[in-house]
Amino acid sequence: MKKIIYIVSVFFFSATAHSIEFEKMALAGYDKEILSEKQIRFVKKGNAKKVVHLQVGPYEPKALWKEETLKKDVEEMFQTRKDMYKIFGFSDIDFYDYKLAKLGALPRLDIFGSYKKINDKKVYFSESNIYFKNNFLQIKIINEFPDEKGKIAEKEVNDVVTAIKAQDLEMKE
Amino acid sequence: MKKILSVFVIMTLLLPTLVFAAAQKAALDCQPKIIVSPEEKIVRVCNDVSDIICKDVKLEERRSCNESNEYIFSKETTPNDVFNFAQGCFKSAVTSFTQFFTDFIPQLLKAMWELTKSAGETAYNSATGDGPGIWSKIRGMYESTASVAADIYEAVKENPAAYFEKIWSKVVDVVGPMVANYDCLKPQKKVESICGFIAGWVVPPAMLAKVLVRGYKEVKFLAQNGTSSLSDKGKLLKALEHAEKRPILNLKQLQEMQGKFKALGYTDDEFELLFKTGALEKIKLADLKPLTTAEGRFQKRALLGDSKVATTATAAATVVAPKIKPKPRMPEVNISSDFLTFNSVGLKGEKLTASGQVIERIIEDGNEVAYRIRMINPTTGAVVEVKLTKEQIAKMNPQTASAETAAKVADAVKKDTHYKSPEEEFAAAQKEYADRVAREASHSKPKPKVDGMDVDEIHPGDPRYDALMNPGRPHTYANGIEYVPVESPGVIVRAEQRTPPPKTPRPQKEGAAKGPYGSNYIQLMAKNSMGVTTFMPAEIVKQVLENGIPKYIVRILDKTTNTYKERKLSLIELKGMKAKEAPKVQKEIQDFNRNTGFQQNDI
Repeated sequence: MKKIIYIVSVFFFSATAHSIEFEKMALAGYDKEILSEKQIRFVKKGNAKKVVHLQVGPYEPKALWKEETLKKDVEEMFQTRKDMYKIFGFSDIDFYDYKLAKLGALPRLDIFGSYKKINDKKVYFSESNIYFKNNFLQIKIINEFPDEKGKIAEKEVNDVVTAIKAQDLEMKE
Repeated sequence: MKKILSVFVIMTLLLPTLVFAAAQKAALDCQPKIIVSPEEKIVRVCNDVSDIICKDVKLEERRSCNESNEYIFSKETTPNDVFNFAQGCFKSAVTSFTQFFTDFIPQLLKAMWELTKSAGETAYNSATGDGPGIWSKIRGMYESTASVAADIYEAVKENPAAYFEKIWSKVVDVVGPMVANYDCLKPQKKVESICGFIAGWVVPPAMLAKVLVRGYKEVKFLAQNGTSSLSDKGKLLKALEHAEKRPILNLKQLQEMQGKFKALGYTDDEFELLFKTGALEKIKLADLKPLTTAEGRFQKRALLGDSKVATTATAAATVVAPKIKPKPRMPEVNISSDFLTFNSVGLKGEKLTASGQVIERIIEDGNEVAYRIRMINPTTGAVVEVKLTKEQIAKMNPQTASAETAAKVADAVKKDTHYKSPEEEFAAAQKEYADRVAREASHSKPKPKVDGMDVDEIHPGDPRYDALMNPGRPHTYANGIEYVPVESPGVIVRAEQRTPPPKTPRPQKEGAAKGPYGSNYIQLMAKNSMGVTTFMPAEIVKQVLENGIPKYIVRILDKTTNTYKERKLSLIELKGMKAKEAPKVQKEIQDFNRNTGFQQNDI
């Protein structure tokens, strides 16, 4: 019983501590807006059309990405997202690239895509799904831009991921 | 132990409100539990979803997730309980705008993911080895929910009004019926069905209900308080107003109604169309005839025909909470004979006894609910046909007519050569119209058409029929659509739907009548020449000032002597006479003036 109370307390305080750490995160060159305990929005200074969403949450270790099934899994996820997007009025959804890498022992999945909003404005996005110890972190860069010049460069994604990663002790290898 | 801990971690991380709303949650019966069995997992997930969605619903009105019976409400539950419950559900959805996108949608998406995961875990545990590959099926679910939530947030933040304006109109058509049946009614069943969709994305009606409710509120607020982003503010406000006025429909009632329509021969698709277009409101179930009858087929054509011209706004399903009125108890009334005598009232308000013959008994659910009766007008002796509900006829104290009266009624009905049934009237009117069109049109001109249909395909009950029968006279129906007959030079006739022009008040001339009741034609209580106090038609013909107090010259029609009495009355005096606007009075007075040759300056 004592053991349970101890472990429960440890998890409770670690969760709370994590929450505080998360809220302190910052990105140089971006204005910060805390949307919730688990979601931060950064707006690029001088370019309000470019934003970064940072979300933290749990993940299911048994459902992590695997190289051998990656293509099929991403295709299935793409279909799921298309349905979700449609409901909320988005169109022309496209995943034009994805990459699976390792971040320590766990995978990191980057997705690059685009969609159109209800006002037909084209939006490019990149999404880095990073898994570590007890949490999952999603870093999503959203850029509203009419043509392909709006595509998020891999270097930019890596810079943001590195900047975020450097701030969170849990993510450090 | 490992399992308990992992569950605890997930719980702690998944539900941020768990920490902050601990006190609130403690007050609720549905507290998250440590999972010990697959059944309890479902209960817990049900509770999580329920806590998010129904948090404003009183505990005593919430259904426990532990219940496994089919219906959330017992037989003892009153309609008011149902209403309060549903209202609470919707109320909880309407808090703040930002919270919706930063709190509710991510929470719900996470709950969905957790729910899916729990179901997957159940399947996993029940299988041997590595399980049935369930984990690969839920791969990417959480990533997707988080990702899409961010995009939605951005889209809405940029232009909330436009977003909702478009999404609302799109989604509402599809989700309207689902909204009415949100999980609060059957949370357990919903959870079970969600769990059935392990591999796919399930849109919980609750989420869409929230989008609709909140979207509706937001749009209304923005439209009312001004925003430059709305493309057509006036149109939008009108659509919102229209949606608010729509009758409130409970899904259970809707399902019952659907069953009845199906029993009469309608398909599910046809019923859905009738629902979406608001055509269901145009007909009472009691009046609905089976499609095996000609009348039934006419009705169907009229109902579905109308739907083609129904506006999008009409199609907008209401998102307000269901409100159920208790069904009035059917009066006990014995109409065993076809020949009856009733209490009736004469033209002068005197009590009379009328007699008539029941020519049709309208049956619903095996019970007689209304009657078509050919009555002999006790004053004029003319045969008139009336349709009375059971309630109406009960008030008239129907009695079986004596053999002598019955014989007289039967004879009068038989001899009345002027009487025409509605079908005969229709046929005659149709013939008259066709003759007129034929006379007016040259032989080379095409046969008249209405909305692409042959004119003889338009039947009574179809608003276009009235428009056709009365060219030049617009017809406004309860759905707010005005049908105006249009005849083009090519004798192509069609009933055109148009929005009535805004009514502008007529400029008042000095000294002209200006009644306080909207119309100058009113009805008030006054004594007639016989000394009997009764409602009398009257016209306000002039407004004058007397010591600074406005007074009205009122011309009251005394129908017992067929003469006018003119009175100068103040507003207080008018009120004392229970004066009220009565549109029918206008015609009555104008007819009287025309028949008697009465001129304005005769008094």
